[in-house]
Amino acid sequence: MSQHSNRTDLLPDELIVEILTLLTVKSILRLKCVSKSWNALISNPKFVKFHLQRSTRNKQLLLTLIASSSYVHCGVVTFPIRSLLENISTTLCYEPMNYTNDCSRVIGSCNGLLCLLGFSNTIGPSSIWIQFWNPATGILSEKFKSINHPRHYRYERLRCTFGYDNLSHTYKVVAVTSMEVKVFSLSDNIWKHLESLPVFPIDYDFVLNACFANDGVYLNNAVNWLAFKNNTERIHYLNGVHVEKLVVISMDLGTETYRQLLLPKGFDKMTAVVAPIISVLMDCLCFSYHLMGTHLVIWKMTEFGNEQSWTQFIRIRFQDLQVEEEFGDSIYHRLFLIPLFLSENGDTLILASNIEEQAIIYHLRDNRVRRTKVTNDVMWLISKDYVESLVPISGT
Amino acid sequence: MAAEKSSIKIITLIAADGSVFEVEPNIVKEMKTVQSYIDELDQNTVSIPLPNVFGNDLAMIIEYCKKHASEEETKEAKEEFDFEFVKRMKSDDKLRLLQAASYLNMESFLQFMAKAIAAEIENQSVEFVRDYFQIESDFTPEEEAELRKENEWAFK
Repeated sequence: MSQHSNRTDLLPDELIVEILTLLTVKSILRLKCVSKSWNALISNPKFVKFHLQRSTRNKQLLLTLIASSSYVHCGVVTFPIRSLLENISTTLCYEPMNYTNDCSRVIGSCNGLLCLLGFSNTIGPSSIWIQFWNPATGILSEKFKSINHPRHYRYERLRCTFGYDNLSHTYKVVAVTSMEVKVFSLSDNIWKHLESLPVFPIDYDFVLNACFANDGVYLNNAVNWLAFKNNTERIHYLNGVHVEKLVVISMDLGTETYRQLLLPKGFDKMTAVVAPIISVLMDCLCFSYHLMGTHLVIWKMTEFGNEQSWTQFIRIRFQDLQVEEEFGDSIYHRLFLIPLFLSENGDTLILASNIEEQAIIYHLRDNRVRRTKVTNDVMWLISKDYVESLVPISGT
Repeated sequence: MAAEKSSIKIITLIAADGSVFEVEPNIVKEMKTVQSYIDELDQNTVSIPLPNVFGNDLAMIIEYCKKHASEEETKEAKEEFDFEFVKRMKSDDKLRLLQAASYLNMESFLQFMAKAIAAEIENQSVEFVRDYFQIESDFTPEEEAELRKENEWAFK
């Protein structure tokens, strides 16, 4: 039996790759020390790419934890969605981030890389910077100085979005203020000025915890924001807004040009909607809002860029979600729901609410609703999709 | 052509050690190497030599294929079978079956074996993995120390 098991001489690289790409990044990095040929194999960009492809199937959420007394972000933790759905009471372990002294936050997650935004809290001109981090490999980039920002602008007002440009094969960060648009490219580490946005993204600064709600979503090589067609309009939470007044402004990361995408037409036309938001679910651009204080409605753009492909695919009664929209007279305390995740079979939806400490897990098939049971204080509204990867920071 | 193919009743597989296995056509569908061989032939009975697979291993692969090709078995029963199937194997067996899967071009069985092996080496030490794959380190102690330092984070 064992006389023919002269094994590894026979085990070709392609089979070793099949095995190693199934491991966690931590194990893979450790196994670089097995031999020279394993080290070479694991360091190969093709291996990194193949591992990423596989890892993408194991979707995770990147959660930001806050210190319970203050709103200081005290760490981030990655968490497999699978375990979240198991719905066991969980205390998340995290390593306190070394960057927290700099008041950073995660503004985006792409292919296992995170982009952090921070600002120094010292007296004088506010210095804003970005930094890149792969939490799986533990590699943290230097800080790249960002936009010089007038003091009276809080850093939250700066919208930053992180994505990968398939055209130039590089990671980019788009930063938008009311005055300018800049793009940072990781290939040359340079900030470049772009033409201003033709329409300006809507603000939710006045709704509790919702100030990051329209920071821009990355999908299909483009960064997308929700905006008013007419720049002078302002969102009015109490009265809502008519869908035809809104538009998606989309910036292609390759050509660095803008285009506008119309929202679904013809439905709910006569009714004003509340808390409209765009997000990405199952690789589709989604547009969701509260309707008449009774329902959450979600549309998806089945084919990105095709305005005819909007499909209304979820309509849930607030009652079924066990949420209340009315919270006294204060606009500030109004409900805001952001979809975080939809399972591949379309059966399970995870939502973040601005007025609850836990995320909402809703099963569409049988209207079952639950809350997560995470004992830490999690900023669910700014959760990001995450996959573990070996992608280096200079990464192409 | 299709009708002729379906007329094949029994396929004979001959392992490297000469042991002979008679199987039904639906069992070998997953073995793309065998299937393409059958597709090229125009006969009622086929006999296929598999010089890279030993009898013991071929017996296990056929057992796996039979279980998974069965329409009567529930998903749970198949999962239970998979669990037991891996449990009774040594690391040697897994590595040999992985290679056999590659030679026979069996996509899902190959993934199954790769996963079983990955589960065994996940979170294990460098020494354990070297031993598992019988690899001799070709690093000098200095080189290895440096590489460990570079990847210090992974050893925590």
